[in-house]
Amino acid sequence: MQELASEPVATQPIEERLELVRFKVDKRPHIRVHTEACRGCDLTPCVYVCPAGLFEILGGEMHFSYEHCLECGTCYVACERKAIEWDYPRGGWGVSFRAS
Amino acid sequence: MRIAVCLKQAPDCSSVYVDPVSGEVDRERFVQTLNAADACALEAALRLKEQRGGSLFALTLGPDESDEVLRVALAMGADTVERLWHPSAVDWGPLTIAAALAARLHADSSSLPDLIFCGEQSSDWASGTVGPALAAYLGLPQITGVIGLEALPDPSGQLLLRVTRRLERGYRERLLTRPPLLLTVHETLNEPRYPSLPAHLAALQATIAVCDPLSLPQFAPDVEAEEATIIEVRIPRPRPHRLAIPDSQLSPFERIGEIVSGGTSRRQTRLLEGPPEELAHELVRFLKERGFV
Amino acid sequence: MHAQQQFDAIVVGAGPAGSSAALVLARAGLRVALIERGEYPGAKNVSGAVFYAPGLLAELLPSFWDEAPFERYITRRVLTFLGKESAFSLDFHTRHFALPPYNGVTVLRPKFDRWLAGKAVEAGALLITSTVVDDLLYEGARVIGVQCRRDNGALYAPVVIAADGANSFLAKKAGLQREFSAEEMSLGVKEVLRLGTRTIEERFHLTGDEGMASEYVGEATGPIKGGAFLYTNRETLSLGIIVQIASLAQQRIRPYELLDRFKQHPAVAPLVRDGLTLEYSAHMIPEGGWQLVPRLARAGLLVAGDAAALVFAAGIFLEGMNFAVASGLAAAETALEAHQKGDFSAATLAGYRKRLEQSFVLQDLQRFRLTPAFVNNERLQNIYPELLCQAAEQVFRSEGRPRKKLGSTILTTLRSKVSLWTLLRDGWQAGRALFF
Repeated sequence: MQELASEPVATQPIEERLELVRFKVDKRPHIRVHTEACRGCDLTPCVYVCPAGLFEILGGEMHFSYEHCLECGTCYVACERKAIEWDYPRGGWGVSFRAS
Repeated sequence: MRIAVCLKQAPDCSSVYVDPVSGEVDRERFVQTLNAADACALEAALRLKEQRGGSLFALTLGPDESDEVLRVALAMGADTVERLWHPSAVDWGPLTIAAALAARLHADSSSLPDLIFCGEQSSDWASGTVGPALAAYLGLPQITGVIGLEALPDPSGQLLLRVTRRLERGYRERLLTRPPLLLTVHETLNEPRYPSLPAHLAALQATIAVCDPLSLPQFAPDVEAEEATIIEVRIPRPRPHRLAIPDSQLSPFERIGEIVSGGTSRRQTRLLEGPPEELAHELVRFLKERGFV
Repeated sequence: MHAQQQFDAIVVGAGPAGSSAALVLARAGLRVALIERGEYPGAKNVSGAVFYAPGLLAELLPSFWDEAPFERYITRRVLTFLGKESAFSLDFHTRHFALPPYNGVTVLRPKFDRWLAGKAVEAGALLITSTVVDDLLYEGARVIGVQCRRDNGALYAPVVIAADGANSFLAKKAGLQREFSAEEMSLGVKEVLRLGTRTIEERFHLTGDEGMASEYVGEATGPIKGGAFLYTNRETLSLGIIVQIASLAQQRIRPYELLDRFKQHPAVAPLVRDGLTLEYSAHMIPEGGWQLVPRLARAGLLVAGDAAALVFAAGIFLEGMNFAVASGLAAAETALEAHQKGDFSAATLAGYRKRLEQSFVLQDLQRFRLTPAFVNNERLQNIYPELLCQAAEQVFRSEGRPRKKLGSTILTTLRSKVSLWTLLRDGWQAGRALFF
């Protein structure tokens, strides 16, 4: 029997999907990451669980953006080092779903 | 001082989605908000009012849902608000709308407001016409595309405004002016305030006055002679840019010079060397010479 | 204190729980503030979204069936075990679910939540949009109001109903809920695809306003614990995966890649073919079940809906909105009782839990309390669906050779991967979790 591709293939980059979502981006970030706590974190669950792909390790450093946050809260639940300070954006700002 | 601000409810830009295949706009997904430029106009008016005293009247022309923008105005600090509406207004173009707004401003027993603020253009049709047309109907001078506004101290006690306008191709124009006058504001002028909870609550519960523009004595819409007809809506095709490929024989510095000049003219690049103070002086002199400062 | 900032009750969150509560309270003549952080109710809300037992609201809103923005009523339920290249489905279709009170309806949350909040407003509640509640206000141990993130942001009321969603910051701040672990929380990611009314009806064998709720386990989420869903709306599909956060982090697969993998599965691809993605969304789901349900009240405070982890994710049942509505209604009734007594103490508000214990809300959660753990069983997630498909394949295979009787075919297949003892034990656990 022919095996299916076991590696998942993203048909559409996450950025394109996020294009479909309406964000009203506040100047003040609603997520803070204490990146010093990320050093030496091998698991980096945030990188894998974030449905908007907002976390990334570049050159051994944690980088993240809050602008396209879907406001689910998965990152701070997944982070074992409690490095993510997470709050809702200011009322009226952030993501607005329209077709879900 | 009496200030009036004209507002419009328009789809928030971030909620506009154009189908890549059909080119159609998905109206179902619109989130209607106070037009961004109008919010800046409102904020600018509020700041002036707070500085100089007076009253602020916000008005809009639109259906029931447009009450929302007037609630925003009330929450931010407008003293009075009013919505103009008549079912036939769905077909009105910018000139007729401006005429209705003018008629409403004329209808007050006292004289016209000292200052009238409008957004430069709306996020939907972006004709940029209502403000200038309103100025014309009211016989007021106007300044469009305001990106800087400052009330200057004036010994006479009168209001003196220093206004910066945004012109084409990155040019700026700075003007000194006095009311009465109409200003149309660009959406980068300021950051509109986030209302306090009591103000937000009061605005949510306020009763919004509605006025039928057809009942205004000075208003006679001539819809027959409507100003414009939409023939076609197209998505602009990206304009091809000629990319100048820098001469690979040149040094990185010179190549950068070629790239930033866009290859359109043989602009000279100059490398300055010397102590920091001298360099700074030289830089300032250069910027002055070119009219940047 | 400004009189304008004093209410009889404050409801935080205009989702199904909050709006239902506000509706009841306002109907009873109380001055109710319904606070929503989105620009409009539904802006931040995501679910599958099938609203089961919508009849809960029909009792309150006589025009419910005519007016509420439903997409389709569910007459077809499908449960599919996905193998790598095969699928084994239980497919149930009944016209009995096609009459009010419908058994379940699909909704689009931005539309539905806005409509429901509108009903609370019609009843007299004050809907305060675009406003985040940051904290509770206390007088001693008693909650006396909320602090909103705006200047002069205090609002006061003798009773606050926290229906602030899955993250339930208020329940945590009030010391009712603990910090979540990544094992008891799930992440749902979802896409809405436009197919057109006709295609949906033809592709899913539906007539008129009928709809389908279809759920998938097994290969649907690869090696990750969870499942997938596919629901029909009027002219769109809601399709998504729900996965345990811990498992996702462990397997290091991004949720949207998993969603794509699901969409590309040979049994799913033809169902979503030519669907134009309209929106992508995500939400956290408190799927921990009974163990995750916090203390539900303290003096001056009641917690409802997702904020109280009142989500029924028990294998073949994936329900949340009905639990939210029922808890919102129960919270409102309790708050009304407290108003009548003029007593907002923890003792009076404890009546809320009693109400929920008498209703399906806590009874279902308690009765099926073993199910979440059972559903996350490694074998159920990763082995049995494939085995089931293989067994079916053996049964249906026609090779021009003598067949064995079905029992032996099936048993041989199952025992190829799992010992008989394990099989029996899992069978017993399935029984305990779902059947008896």
